[in-house]
Amino acid sequence: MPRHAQSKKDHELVTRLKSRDPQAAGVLFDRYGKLLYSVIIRAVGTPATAEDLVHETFLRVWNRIHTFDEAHGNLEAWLITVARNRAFDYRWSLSGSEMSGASTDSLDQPGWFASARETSDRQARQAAVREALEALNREQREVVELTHLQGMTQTEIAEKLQRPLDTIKGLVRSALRNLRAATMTYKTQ
Amino acid sequence: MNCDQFQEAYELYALGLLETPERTRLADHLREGCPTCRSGVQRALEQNATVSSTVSLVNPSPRLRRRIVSSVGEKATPQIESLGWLWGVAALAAATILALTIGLSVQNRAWRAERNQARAASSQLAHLSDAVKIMQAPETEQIDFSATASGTPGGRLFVHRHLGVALVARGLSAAPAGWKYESWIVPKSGPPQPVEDFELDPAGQAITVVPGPVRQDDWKEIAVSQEPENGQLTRPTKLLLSAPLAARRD
Repeated sequence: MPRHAQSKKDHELVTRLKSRDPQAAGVLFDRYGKLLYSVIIRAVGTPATAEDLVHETFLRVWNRIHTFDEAHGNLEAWLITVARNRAFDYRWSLSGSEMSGASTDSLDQPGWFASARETSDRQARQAAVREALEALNREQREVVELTHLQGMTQTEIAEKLQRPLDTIKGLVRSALRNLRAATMTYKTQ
Repeated sequence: MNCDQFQEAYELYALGLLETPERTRLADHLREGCPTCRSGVQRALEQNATVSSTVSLVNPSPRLRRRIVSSVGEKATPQIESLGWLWGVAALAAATILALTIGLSVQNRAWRAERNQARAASSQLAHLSDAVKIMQAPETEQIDFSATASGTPGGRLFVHRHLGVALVARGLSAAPAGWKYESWIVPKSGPPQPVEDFELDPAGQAITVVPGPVRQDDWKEIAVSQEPENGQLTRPTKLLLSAPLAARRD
């Protein structure tokens, strides 16, 4: 679906959510529930836990939707960020990681997802990122998978892969530089 | 403050993965209101979300939608406040409208019921489609857990490392009224985790799916139990079968 059409539908949906239309929650789930579940289960692995965290994600969105800017906000990015943060927080709480929910709480505030610029259509943007991910070498892809989809810190990755921390930092830095370059190039096309 | 030092840290900060002391320095800097770094973190949040959106899609259990809609629906129920004389006007208006809308509401209920049935069917179809994908994938491992005694339920597990587990059970008898079938992940340590409730076909067979990556190092078996319809899913109540995730080497 072209980005402007998706944005228009999301705009209408956010308006309904703000007016506390109970059926809007079902529409939100039908549009994004599968994606959010997929993001969460990739990080936590267990269906029952993933369902609890998706539920928590929807309640959090429902309770904060009044501050979301439907005219300029990127609803999908906000939802994914809320879901991913719930999953990462859960993992960190299990592993006793030094990371904590406090570090992500402020970053899923709706205000971060309002942008004045027109974003490109979603499918094309995803294609650009997929292309950039495929262009990464195997080690770079592995660290992106471990950071972005599983919430592992560079220190944890170094321990898991039994590689020096500086090597992991170098891989993460180069992978992110490549992704950044690809999306920046795409946006200026 | 020179923002250049932060430019390569935006993505990890946006993921919550930047470690101290860099995390504290960037957080403090953002609190000072730096527009360059705020814009960089905004871009990183969007980019990170796009990377996450490339994840392989997995269908959740059909009950998740019901659970979310019902809990949010409850919160959306308007609070009844004291409206004084407005109640009289409202009651009169309601009585007048009731007669006019009763026919329409019957029609609407029928439409709603059909729409809900269609939604449930669509959800079940997606679930079956997950099972078929698992069963047909070339890397899928098949593990029989044949009945050891006549009348004992048995069946076959289809295990795909990334797509999930499909359990095909045979020889189950209909659940008594007020009870339902439930599938469970039984970990090697810790309590069993409920996966989904499911129904039997008339021949006593059923397919239940545990979608998503399979943790064969952590999971011992997939189990099926009968549970009271409104019971707490803390542990299997009537355990009917257990299917080990590792094939027996006889």
